[in-house]
Amino acid sequence: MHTEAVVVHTDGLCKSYDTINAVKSLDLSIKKNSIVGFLGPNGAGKTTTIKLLLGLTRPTGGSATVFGHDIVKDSIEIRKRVGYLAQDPCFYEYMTARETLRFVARFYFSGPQHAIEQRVTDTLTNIGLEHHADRPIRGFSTGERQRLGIGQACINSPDLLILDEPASSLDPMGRRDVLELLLELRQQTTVIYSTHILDDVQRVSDMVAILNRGQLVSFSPIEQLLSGNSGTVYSLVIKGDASQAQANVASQPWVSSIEVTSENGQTIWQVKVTDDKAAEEQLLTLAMSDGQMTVCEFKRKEYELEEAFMQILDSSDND
Amino acid sequence: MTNGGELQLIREQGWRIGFVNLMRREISRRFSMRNWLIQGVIWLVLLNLVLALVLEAEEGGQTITAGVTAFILATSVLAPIGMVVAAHGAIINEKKAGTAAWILSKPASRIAFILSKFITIGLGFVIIVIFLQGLIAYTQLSVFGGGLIPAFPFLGALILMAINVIFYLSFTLFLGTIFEARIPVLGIPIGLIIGQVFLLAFLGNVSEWLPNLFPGSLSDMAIQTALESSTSAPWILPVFVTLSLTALFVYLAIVRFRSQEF
Repeated sequence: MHTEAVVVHTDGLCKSYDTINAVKSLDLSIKKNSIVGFLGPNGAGKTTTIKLLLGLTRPTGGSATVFGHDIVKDSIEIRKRVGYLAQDPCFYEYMTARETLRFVARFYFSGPQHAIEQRVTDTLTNIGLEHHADRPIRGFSTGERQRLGIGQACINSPDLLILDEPASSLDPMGRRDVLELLLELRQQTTVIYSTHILDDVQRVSDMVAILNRGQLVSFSPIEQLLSGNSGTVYSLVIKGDASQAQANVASQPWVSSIEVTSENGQTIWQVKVTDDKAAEEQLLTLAMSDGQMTVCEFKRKEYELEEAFMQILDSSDND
Repeated sequence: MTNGGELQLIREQGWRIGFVNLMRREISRRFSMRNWLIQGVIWLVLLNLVLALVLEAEEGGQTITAGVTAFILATSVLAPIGMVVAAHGAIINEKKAGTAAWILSKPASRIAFILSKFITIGLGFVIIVIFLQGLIAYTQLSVFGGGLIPAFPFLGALILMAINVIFYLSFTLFLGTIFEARIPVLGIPIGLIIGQVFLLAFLGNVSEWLPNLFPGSLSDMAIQTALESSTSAPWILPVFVTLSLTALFVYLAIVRFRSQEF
């Protein structure tokens, strides 16, 4: 398992603070070049997991590797290949953006001064701070700090980029830039990023990890998550008297439930099925066989990430 | 990870990783001309103005003796306090500001983090406060004495005082890795500096050699060295004790910092 194809592998990783279990037996395997969205409510363990991977905090149980290096014994080897943006990025306030990037670049690279300067200038341009490059950071806005944070995380062209809430302080333009950056980096970098902005996760992630109370409650491809976790649901919008058709549909062995709601004089059925093929072939025909109603809309239901996320959290809270 | 042509990926291993870069930052921060000028003027007033007043006040053949004694006593108390004030925020400020966590998320060893601070703070302070002020004091004493006073004994005294302030630097850095608040990091070493004045007097009454087990005895030794007084005190003992304690506190600071979580 510990090959370059798997960038991050955790095995029963735990972190406790006195009586609080911040991370509980985390089993995770993140493949190369994937973009993984870390979701979860505040205090779910996202930041703690990130800090464990970076060696900023030590596990109280289990183990983990990044690029095959143990997170406790070989933390520096890991950090040579990682770029990290903290949730609340902190810098030396007296330094300028240019000085900060130069300082960070020298942790990774040696070489002629002009080559370092070129790398710094390119990064400043990429993050849109070229006009503020020589201003001390103490005068920066939150958004400018966030941009600088992203720049310093990317300056070493990392093999693994870890971003903790990268878009939280950015305006819509900045947020769009971050998402575009993530998509650009997909070819050469593995990305882990935690966020509360579910729309962003839905747009760029391959995999979604959902943590709740320190536990990994879901880790699956985004498509799988959006298709729901409680069977396939078909949605029908109906006009007219649908009581007979409803009884017909409900009697089918492949129908597990029908949820009926009314909206603007229309009836909406959410039909949960156990056999996808049977539903595709027969459901619409059965509904339309009763001449007293009209089917205005028929589609397989796709969940919004927020809906799926809330469902997963609710069910994990009830467990 | 791409290195972009002429750039090479860093090759350092172990504790040295990040050391040069951290040293470079600390030097640019602490060794700026503005910083040196401010520090230089403050310490000129605190140490050499005191010496000038003593030299002015004293008359007769004891002027040099009184001047040397006053300068070394003032330096032995004020310089360690200055060192504690200068160093007390070195670790705590970085922990509180989040910059320690930021640095340690890069390829930088925790040993390099501590050592870069120890070396640059220590070097800067010893140059400005001990040797620069010592040179000015030496010039003043020579002018008042009407000729050069012996240089090597005076230099020996300065080295002993440098050892003394470096001890307090190591102790303060160690405390900075233990506490999260400034008050104990500032208060404990200053309490030790002042407390030792009384403690050594008391211990001296119990046994002649007992004070030599404390760094505070280096000030008496520095006076005797500068004045070339004959002494029965085993000078090697307080130097050895102080250097050993310095090494111990640096080691403990590293051990403690390595176990910290961010």
